[in-house]
Amino acid sequence: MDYEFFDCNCSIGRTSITHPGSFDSPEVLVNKMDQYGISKALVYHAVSRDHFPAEGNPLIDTIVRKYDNLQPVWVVMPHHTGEFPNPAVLINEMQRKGVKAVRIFPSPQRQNYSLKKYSAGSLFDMLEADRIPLFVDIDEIGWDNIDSLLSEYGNLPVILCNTGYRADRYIYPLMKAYGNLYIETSRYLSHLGLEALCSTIGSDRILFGTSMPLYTGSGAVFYIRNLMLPESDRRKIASGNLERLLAEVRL
Amino acid sequence: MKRRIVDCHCHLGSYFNFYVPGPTPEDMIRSMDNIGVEKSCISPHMALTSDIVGGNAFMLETVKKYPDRFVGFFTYNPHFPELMKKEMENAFRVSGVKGIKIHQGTHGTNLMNSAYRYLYDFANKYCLPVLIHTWDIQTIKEIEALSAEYTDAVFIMGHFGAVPANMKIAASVINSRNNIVGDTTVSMMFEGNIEWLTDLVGAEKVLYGTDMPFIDPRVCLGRILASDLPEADLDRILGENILRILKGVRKYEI
Repeated sequence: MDYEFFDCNCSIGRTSITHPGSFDSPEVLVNKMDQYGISKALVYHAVSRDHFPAEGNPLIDTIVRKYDNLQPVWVVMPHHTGEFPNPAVLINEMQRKGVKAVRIFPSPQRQNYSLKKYSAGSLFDMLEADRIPLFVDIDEIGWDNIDSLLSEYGNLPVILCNTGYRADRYIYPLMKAYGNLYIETSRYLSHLGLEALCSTIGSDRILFGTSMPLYTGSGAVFYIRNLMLPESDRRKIASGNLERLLAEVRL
Repeated sequence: MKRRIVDCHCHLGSYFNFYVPGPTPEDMIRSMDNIGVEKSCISPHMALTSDIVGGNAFMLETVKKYPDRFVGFFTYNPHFPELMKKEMENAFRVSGVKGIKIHQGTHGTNLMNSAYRYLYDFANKYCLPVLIHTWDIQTIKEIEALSAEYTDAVFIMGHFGAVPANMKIAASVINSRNNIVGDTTVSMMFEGNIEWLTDLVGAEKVLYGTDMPFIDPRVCLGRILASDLPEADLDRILGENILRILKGVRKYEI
């Protein structure tokens, strides 16, 4: 039996470097999703990541208004310099625009700020209070920072993306220690890794993702469809877990 | 006729740098059965990073135990040239051993190391495939030179150069020879990458490879099956090409 795929790790918009097969338009993204059998996607804008969140977030709002199957993700950052809204204003804006998930790029190579309380504390307090899922790439945060984040904000759902296939010696202890840690699947590619993780941690905290448009979504879907797990687990990973997380958002 | 899927680039066993949840031959067979892969060409991790004798012994044991599921690729470490001669000659007495694996990166050298010459002569004499870790331009250029000298050996550029800029150079070298092919072993591929590689070199020079159990094979197979390529090209990439190369291997004479 087939089931719905809900991609939690997608972006759109022009980037400064392209590759053969690269695309940046939402039309192509939606066509690719259709081709691969992906019904819905959470999408952030590349401009929010590569340039400036306050300029990229309105662009994703405009795009998702045209497509029923795309849902917006805002890239957020601390407000202290005045270049980005403070948490109270941000949450109101998110509520007004129907944004139920956020992403951060705090590394020195990207938006370059601290995740400590003095910098991001009020932002994370607000996200945690409303149980807004926070997406972050492991390369953006590092293993020790993710440990601190999970322990300081125990009710904040944190989805670790693009973990790679060499990460289990970090992921297993972190997922055992923190019930608010989730893993995205697109680069979690150790051999029989999802079957092994499910047998230890369970399937409730694994979310399907593709990393489109940087990488192809075709293999990501094939991977989940061919998991040697019960149908109920595959359904949860493909879309059920993400639907549940979004339903728990208090905005 | 049923499509034959043969993975030209696999390893075997645990690995020092990360947890491999499915390291055994039986785990690999379970994966292969799940997605319809008939055979996999193997060179154990241990031979790449640690004990060359122990690693090749694991390959031989596995090929003997599962002759219908695994093809052995003997790993050659140039730091032990005399030992390699003896080990290689013994290994190729086993009928399921049909190729050679070079990982010059983990062995801290390059393909022009003179200690590899015995291997190249051997591969040339028996028309063997030589699977080479091909991640950088230097390696691509060295394969270009060696393939002109050893014209009966078949050089497989494992990973096809790894990133698009290198893949383009690899493709031009592949196009300049009859005895070089490239494989699809890349953990994450850009949209349309399989179609692009096939367009650059032709479907008869692209081989399905996955790095299992270093990486799960499902993602790579999914990319190929979902590509826009004609069925005949998929047949070539997924199995016919490596089967043709293996069929061309001459019987080892003791």
